[in-house]
Amino acid sequence: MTNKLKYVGKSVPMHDVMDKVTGEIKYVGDMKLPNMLYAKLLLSDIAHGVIKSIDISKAQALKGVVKIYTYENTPSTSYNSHIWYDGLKAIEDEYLFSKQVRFYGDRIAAVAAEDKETAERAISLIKVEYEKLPHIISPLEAKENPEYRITSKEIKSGEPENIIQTAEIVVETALKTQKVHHAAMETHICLANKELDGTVTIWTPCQVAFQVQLVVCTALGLPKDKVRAIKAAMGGSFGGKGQPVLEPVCAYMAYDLGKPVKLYMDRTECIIATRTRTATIGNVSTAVDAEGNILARDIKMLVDAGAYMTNGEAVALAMGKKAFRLYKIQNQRYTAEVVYTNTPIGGACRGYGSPQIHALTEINIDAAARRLGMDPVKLRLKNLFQPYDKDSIGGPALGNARVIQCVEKGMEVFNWKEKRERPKAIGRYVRGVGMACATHGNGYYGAYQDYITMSLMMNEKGEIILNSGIHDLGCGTVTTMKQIVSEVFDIPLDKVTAVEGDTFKSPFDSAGTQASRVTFVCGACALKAAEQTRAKLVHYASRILGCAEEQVVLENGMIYASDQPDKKQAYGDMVTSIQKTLSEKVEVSCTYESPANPASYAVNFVEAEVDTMTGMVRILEVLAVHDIGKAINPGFVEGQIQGAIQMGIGFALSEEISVDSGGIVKETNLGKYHIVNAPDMPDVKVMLIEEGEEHGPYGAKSVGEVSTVAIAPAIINAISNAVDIDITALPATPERVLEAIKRKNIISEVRQ
Amino acid sequence: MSNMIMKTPASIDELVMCLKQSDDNTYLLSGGTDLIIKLRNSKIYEGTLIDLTGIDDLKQIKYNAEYIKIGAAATFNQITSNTMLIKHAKCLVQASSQIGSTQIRNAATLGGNIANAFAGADAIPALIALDAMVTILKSDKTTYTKPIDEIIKGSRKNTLYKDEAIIEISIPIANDNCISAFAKLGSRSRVTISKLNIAATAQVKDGTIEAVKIVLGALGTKAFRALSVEKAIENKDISEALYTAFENELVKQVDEAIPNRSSLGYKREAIRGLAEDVYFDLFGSMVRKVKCHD
Repeated sequence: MTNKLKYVGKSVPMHDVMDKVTGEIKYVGDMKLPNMLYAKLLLSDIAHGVIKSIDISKAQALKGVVKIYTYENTPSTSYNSHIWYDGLKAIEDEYLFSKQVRFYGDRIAAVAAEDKETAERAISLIKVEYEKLPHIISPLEAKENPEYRITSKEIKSGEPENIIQTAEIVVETALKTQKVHHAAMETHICLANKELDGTVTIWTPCQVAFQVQLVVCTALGLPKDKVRAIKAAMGGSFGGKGQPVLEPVCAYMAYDLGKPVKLYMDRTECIIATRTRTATIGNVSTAVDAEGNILARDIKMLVDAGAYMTNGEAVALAMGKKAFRLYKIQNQRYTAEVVYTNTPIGGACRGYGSPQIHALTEINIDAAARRLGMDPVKLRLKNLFQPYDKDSIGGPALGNARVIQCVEKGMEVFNWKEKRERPKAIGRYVRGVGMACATHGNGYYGAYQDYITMSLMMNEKGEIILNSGIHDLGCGTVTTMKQIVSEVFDIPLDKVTAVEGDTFKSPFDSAGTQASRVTFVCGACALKAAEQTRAKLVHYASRILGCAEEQVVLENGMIYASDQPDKKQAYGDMVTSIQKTLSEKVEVSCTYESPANPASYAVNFVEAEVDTMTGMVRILEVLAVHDIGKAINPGFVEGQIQGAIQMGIGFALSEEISVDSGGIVKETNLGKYHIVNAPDMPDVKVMLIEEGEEHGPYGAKSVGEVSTVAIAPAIINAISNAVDIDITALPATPERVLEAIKRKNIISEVRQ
Repeated sequence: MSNMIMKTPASIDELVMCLKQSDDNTYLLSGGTDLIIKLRNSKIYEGTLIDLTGIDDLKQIKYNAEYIKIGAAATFNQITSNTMLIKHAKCLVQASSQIGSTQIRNAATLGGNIANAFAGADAIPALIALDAMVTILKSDKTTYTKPIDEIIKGSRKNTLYKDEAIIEISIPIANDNCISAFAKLGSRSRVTISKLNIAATAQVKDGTIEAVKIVLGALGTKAFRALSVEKAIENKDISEALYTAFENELVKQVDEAIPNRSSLGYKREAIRGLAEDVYFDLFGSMVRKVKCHD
């Protein structure tokens, strides 16, 4: 590896960008197979109950209806859609169709019909009678009910309880976080077909093709060699398409009917009946000394898994671990209780618990600074981890942790001190600044198996095919892999093809596009595969050229012996010679197991303006500073961060899936579910700290998830700085902000 | 919607022919930004759609000495850029410019907004404040004209029969002393449905408010005139003290309009923000300074 990089570190466009902007790309919604049927779901309109009867006669009588599926005529094998590899254990409580209704949106039936309209009409003709049961929507209530309690977790270092009991300064913060919809432009969709040999092929915009295969096999009772999952073009996921939701149902219909079936959701169905960000109720107590050293911390999280288990336990654990990887806190305890409620299902959502726990703890850090009369940046700098510090519970090494550098550089660029010390405006619109830090991981090392196999081949034209089970979710995975391979071989990107996941064709990948692992783990595998293939090419070329391996030069697509620079030949010609003369292929299959899981860091600085009359908050400016190791493609990195900030502002201010007292979802469309749109987006400045990470390809580490973690607490801290209020529940809607301002005014009037 | 028949009249005469054949399953399409969603949500697959947007006459904005006449199929972006409306119906222009997104304003029409009669509609309070008259075509080719307020019965309800169509909205051109303003509050700054909106028109002479109309939307089932607010500031001199009376009276109006709604707590406070927006938009240049808020 030379220091001068030619392909890595460059902002080249995404591989399929032209197809996307011209509309030529074929999403599953665009795919059509001969004799394809369309399928729709009937979702429950009650929150809890048992089906007494289902009358499908009217729907069945509709011309064009092929078959109607309910719990009565489908397998009743339980499964957990979160399980992504054989051997992973979790409570299996999902079914293709429910008899027991657990939330508003539970799957009751599906109709397969000859056209979309018939499928939709038939759904409205199915009559279901329920016996309603009492429902629980509050996690606090669920905690008191043994049937709703799932599990509890504890992570601990030192003796925090004693210290907190005796400490002079203990700062307590409570925060409720809400369920959030991923709001990918593409709603959930799946296409399945039964092939002549009995194989069920599934085309799906998914994050983990092997998980789709496994979950479908479990639910349908099919062997793995009869289920093929192919990752299709992805119209956005953000974790929402991580767990297979439609795939088992769609696959079953195709399997049963022997025909292709396309099952699709509209926005309302996607909001209520797929997955949501796991809601939490958090409490934290932090003991600090007068100088701002954190002495101990106790974090309690009540985790609302929603109606089904899915990853409730995993997300509770994942968020807890993050609390031990940002500040040096020797004495700390994290406890979590996980409960069911009769509300939409929790699942993976960008950050996987990190945004929830960091919102709680980073708001708390600011509260501590306020108590001490200290600049919150100063308090953080005293306690943040240094590079190569140790995880306080013996977790994976933090690696080249550059969070302090992020804070220090960010402060300067943002002009933190001046903005923070500026007198507050007197009037309707008041501005404030806030900041927050966050950490996230790089894959599964230390928690779950994390390896991938890739095969790489150079052909007779000097082109490279990288075959692996990767999934581009629109973040640039394919191009990232190509840049890495191009760098190793010194060939242009258009000479490299990287194909995506297909469980019948891809070598195995243990975990898919989750856990911020793709660049760090899969990218490292691509690097290893490229280096091994390069070594093979060099070895064979040395025999053809009659020189030592050290003398073989690869340069800009040409290969030659260093003492014969006038006898250059194209890679392809060399490959042809190798095949002809040596009967060898320039091809490698290599398995890479991740040896590390360093921490990535993000620090966000925010300036916000509060309309004290309406409670509306406007974000004026964001500076996102990232400890990224090395950006393989800085344009992609910036794109990820811009989008993550948009998502995080919604989490902080406006996005929420809530239910009424009857358990009915209130925000059933994007008119009611408020994502932040372009007019409300601030100027987002991105700053990358590129200090390299030992095990990352070219020093790279993750950015996809960590980028949406710090923004919400930074915003809440900015609001507090502006108008001196405590926000105790996200999102900080105008209603909540105005109420808090009013409460504060009443208190200050009483004091006067 | 495979069983929907689409009729595309190109003239008023052809529209009359279509209206003659109207039945319970006939729907007037005038932009479709609300109608299409409504049809889909109500699972309506059969019927007749009459598209009004092919009738050129209905897309014009014309004026004479007394009225600005807006064709029912004029889009909100047409309204927003019309110089006569900017001059004489500023509140309607302000309201129109804040409806949905550019794409929605390119399709959505004033006639459609009225017919849809959504309680949170932005154009309707402005039209009420401007004393707009709505002209309706009947299937016998006669027309009649009614004040906007009488056309809207309540949430999603209007007084039109199935064989009638809104064809024109007339806004009287008031004297040059007449000013107007509109403000709304949603959950974000743009592309947002009003939680509250307010339209106002006033005649001001020598610093005195001679006549005023204040209309509130998104409170209850239909937009309404806030008479007690009007009374509180009518025939009064513009001042900061008057602003306080205006604001407090608006809060009372909110209390009276939605006494049992869970949103009352927020709306009764947030109306102060809109009060300030509208009051200073209308009279700002005549008040000493912008009110300071603590």
